Amino acid sequence: MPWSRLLRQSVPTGVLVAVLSALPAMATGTSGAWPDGKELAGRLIELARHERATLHEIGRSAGGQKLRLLEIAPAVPRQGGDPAVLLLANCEGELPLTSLAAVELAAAVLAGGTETPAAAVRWYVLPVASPDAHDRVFAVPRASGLGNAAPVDLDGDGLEGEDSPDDLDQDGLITWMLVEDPAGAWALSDDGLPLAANPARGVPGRYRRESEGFDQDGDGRFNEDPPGGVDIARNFPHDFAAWTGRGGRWPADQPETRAILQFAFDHRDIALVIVLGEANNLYRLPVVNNRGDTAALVTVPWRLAGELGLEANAPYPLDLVLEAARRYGRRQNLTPARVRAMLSLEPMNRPPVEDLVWWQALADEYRNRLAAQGCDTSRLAPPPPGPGSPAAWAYFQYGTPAVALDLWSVPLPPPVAAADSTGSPAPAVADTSSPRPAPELAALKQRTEQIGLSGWRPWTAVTLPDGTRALVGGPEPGALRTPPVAEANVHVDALLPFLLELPGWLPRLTVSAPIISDRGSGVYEVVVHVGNKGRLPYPTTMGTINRRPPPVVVTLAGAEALQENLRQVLPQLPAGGAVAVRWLVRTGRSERFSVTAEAPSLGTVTVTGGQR
Amino acid sequence: MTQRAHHQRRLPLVLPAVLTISLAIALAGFFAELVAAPAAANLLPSSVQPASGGKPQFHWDRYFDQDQVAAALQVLHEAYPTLTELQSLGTSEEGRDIWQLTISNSATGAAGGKPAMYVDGAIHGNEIQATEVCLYLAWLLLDRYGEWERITELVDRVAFYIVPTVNVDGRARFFLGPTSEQIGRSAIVPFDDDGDGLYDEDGPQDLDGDGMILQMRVRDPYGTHRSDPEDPRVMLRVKPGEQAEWTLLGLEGIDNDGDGLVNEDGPGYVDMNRNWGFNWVPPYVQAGAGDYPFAARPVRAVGDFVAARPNIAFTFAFHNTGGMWLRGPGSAQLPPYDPADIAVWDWLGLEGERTLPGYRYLISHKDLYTTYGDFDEFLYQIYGVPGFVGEITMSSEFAYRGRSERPGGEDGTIWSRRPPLREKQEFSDQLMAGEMFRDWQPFDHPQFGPIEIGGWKPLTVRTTPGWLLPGMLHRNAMFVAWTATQLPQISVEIIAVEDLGGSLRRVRARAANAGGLPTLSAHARNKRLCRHDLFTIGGERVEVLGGGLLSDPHLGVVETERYRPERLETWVPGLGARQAEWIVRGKGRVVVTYDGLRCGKSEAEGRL
Repeated sequence: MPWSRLLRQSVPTGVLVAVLSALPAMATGTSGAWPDGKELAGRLIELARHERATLHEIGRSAGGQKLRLLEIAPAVPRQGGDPAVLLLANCEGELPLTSLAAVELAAAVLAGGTETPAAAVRWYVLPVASPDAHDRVFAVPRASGLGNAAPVDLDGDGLEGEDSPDDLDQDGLITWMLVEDPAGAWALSDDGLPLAANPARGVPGRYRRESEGFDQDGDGRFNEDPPGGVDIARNFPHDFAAWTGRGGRWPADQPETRAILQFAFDHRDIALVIVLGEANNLYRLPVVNNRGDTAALVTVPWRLAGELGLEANAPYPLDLVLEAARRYGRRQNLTPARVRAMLSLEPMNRPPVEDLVWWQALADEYRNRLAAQGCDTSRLAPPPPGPGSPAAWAYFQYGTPAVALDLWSVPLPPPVAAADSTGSPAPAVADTSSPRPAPELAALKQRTEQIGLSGWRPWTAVTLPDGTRALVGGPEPGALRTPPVAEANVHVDALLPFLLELPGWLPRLTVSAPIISDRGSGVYEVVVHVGNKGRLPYPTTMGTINRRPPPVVVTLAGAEALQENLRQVLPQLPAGGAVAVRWLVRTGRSERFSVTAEAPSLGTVTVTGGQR
Repeated sequence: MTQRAHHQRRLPLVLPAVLTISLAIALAGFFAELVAAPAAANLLPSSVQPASGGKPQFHWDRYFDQDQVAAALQVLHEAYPTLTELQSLGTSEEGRDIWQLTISNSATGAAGGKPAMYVDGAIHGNEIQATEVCLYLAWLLLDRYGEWERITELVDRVAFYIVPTVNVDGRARFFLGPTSEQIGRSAIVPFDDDGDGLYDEDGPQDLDGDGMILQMRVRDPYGTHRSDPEDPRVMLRVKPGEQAEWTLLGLEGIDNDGDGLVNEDGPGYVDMNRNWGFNWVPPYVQAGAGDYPFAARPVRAVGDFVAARPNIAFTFAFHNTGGMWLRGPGSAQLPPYDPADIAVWDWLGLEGERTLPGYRYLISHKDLYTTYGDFDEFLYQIYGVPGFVGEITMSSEFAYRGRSERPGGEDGTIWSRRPPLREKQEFSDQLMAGEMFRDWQPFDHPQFGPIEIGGWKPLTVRTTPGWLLPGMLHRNAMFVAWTATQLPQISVEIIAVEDLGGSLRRVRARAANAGGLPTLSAHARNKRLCRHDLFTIGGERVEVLGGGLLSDPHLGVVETERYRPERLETWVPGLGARQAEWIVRGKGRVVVTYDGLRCGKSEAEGRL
């Protein structure tokens, strides 16, 4: 069992025996099938028997299924609260490996030591974020890309799900269908791989590509509106793509998405969001916003211009407008943040360059971990978080660091390099002389035919009801992003150590002993340094822009403040750095005072000072 | 416990003692005269009088508080049971019902099968007169039914879905306590506006206990304003070279949280008209956007209601202020609207300007400012339903000038039509006996020291004076009613049946639209946002062999439909027609039907 391997590494044998005997084995590896929703639910219920674990129902899916979230308390709770990690898995629904990994992680946290980074935080683990879509993995016939159970009218004809795919070759799978069509845009290579036609290069079109099935509703289109709903992984509010059908009509129009959002906003102890799915934001780093938006020219609406003493609808650098707000807008509470929200700027879509520092470090750590385990081989590149993705929402709108990771995609052969006259291999150059099949399809076919792994169906000739001939076969649903179940343990084991170490990056609040300077007449200057021993700032620079993470509040009690407020708010604590906080106070010779620094996801630290 | 919940328990402790006293002081003076006190003895508010003959009559020269709005709706529904349906769409964050009234003659068909006009008001709870427009519209349609021919025909043919108050909590707060014209705009949802980790801890307060939240000023020779030498009540911003006298300190209040800012974090701020699901952006980009789309309960309730009524063909959302008919786009980053839709808007907008002289038909982002996540953009972009935002109350209502005097304006912007503040003072003095403005009076502020409190009272800045209300309400309601007469109205006729020999026939039919609005907007068609209209033919013994729409009815050019020719997808332009032709085989009765989501269903029968 995958988690048992971890256990052996960290837990004494006696405890291991007790734990193993208390927890039932996962289906994986025994029955040879992915655990379905019921099995995963049963696993969560078992894990919830642990004294640190509680199972919550945070909402229901569009199809009425429970959204089960496992909360795991830290082994040793901190004063004033603990940082939490929200782990969302399988928002797409059709990536069973990610759900399995989430459950395995939860088990590993509960079974692991109490001194580990994973044990120092609270976990909120949602292994199946889209249970309706997850059920489709186990449906017969199995199709992909159908989303949750919400009714969706993809073709705008007022009907929903009126033209579903059909399993023409009775293999229990909805695969590709190449319909004979001289006007089609597809052809087959000599070795039976589909490729885009290119008549100019001697590859005429012979087929039209559809999904397996026939035109059930007689409108001339194939399976254009199958029964299917919304992809939750595209339904989050950041950079939402409207009018695409499968992403939802508008952001968070699905109950699953709203449940997750509401849970997140109700739990401001969340300091990190991990999303296990198709996307990966550490595989390749995002393009950053080097200039930021301070150099941009903005026009100031008339309703604001007068208050700030500026000309209405004239262009100004943003910096200047914000400075005017600081100088002239105070009485009308036109703080820079409020003014920014009135200037109709566009939302950030690229991280600020300052956040690239920790992002790069995380990505390096991720790659190094995989390389150390020999898991950094060439593979079909995972996509970055796209429109409506939960990870992008968490980073850009919720304000926490967000790590999106996939666990597997089909391995690709490394590019072949030709040797030059010196004997050194020349850089591989793509051959653009003729159309080629997509490399991931070739790799999938090769794995199936030469290694015996599932993933590719040989072409089967069928005749459609109207007499048209077609070929059914090609990649199995989900085969490009989900390995054969027999490989599941390997990939979960490869990623778990990195995931379990991630909480160690989180900010850790410190407060120095107060530095007290006697100014005479009972007046003292008190300075403390509020620090962050973690590897991530708090909040991120994006968090300082969107202002959603609760700030670090530093409060002095027990003395009268002559200057500065007793309660001060820190905009940001740099990673590994500190911020000096100062008060000029008046206090009696024998008085004691205290300074408390706190934030919901950082806990509370209090130091005392003063005369004895 | 979350930070937010924790703060909600702590909040009462930080309010100063003076507030608790001021909350007990009844509304006084000018404000009370405009709001009829609720009747003590029975449920019927004094603003609603059942007249002889059973027709309810209302006072339209005053504002309805939320209890009176609910009562008025109930009175209308009870008086006109066959013409109305009344329901609650759900409850708000503070547990108030969000009332919705449907007006449609049930004897002529179900409301859902008719083209519908959706009207709402007060999504910003401080924009109170939007509710009165909705109530007046409802009353007008019902009171004049059976008496005015066009209104009778309208109520028989069209459905009106009216939500007089969307932000029921905000509007209730406007009337319930010490108020200013900004109170109640937001949903009453705690939000950390100033990013200090506390929620709603520092809002305006009635410091002097007069039942109103007015302005504060402090004498300051280094400040920003001076008194108008012609009328010391008026505050003028100093120009270079001018000596200041005052600094304006904002609305009445104190620095509750000791952060050096006053009233920076009052109740809310979640703007329900920035919480809709199209082009929604987070609060750091769009103030008041909320945590995510439809997070505010009334927005969700109205959204669900609209989603379940695909027969809504046009919308009016009433706000204040400015005297405008607004349409989108709300943001310059959005793709431009289809010219065909703009043409319809332009036509209606001109009619709107004529109906409300002085109103301007404007484009939101271009003529006003960018907005994200607003209601009318959502309705148009997601459902393809066009509409107007009506901004009620123009500053020119406060005109006091002779024929030779021109309207003033100090800032040269679209607000230049506002009379200068001294003209407004004269208006107040001459037409309102000076009751619109409370003179500056000294007050010993706990933090600022000696200051003065005064300024324009509630219901004088963004709201129409009561005695001007009836005309404003009538004009707005009649524009809505007239627009409703332009909703699509389809009639179908079989115009020709040609014998092709044997049992073959060529059947030609026409669907004509007597309404000025198309059956589907261009945007709805282009994006396939809903089912297109269906022009169909059928009969028990009729087999359809082919068919299509006529692209040129004069020359008989048919665009044949290969698949399912018996069911043609189409639309009809305003005051236009669509012809279809089918080749059928059979005999007997044949029925041609035109079925549109926003125009209902019409049929014509013939015989082969």
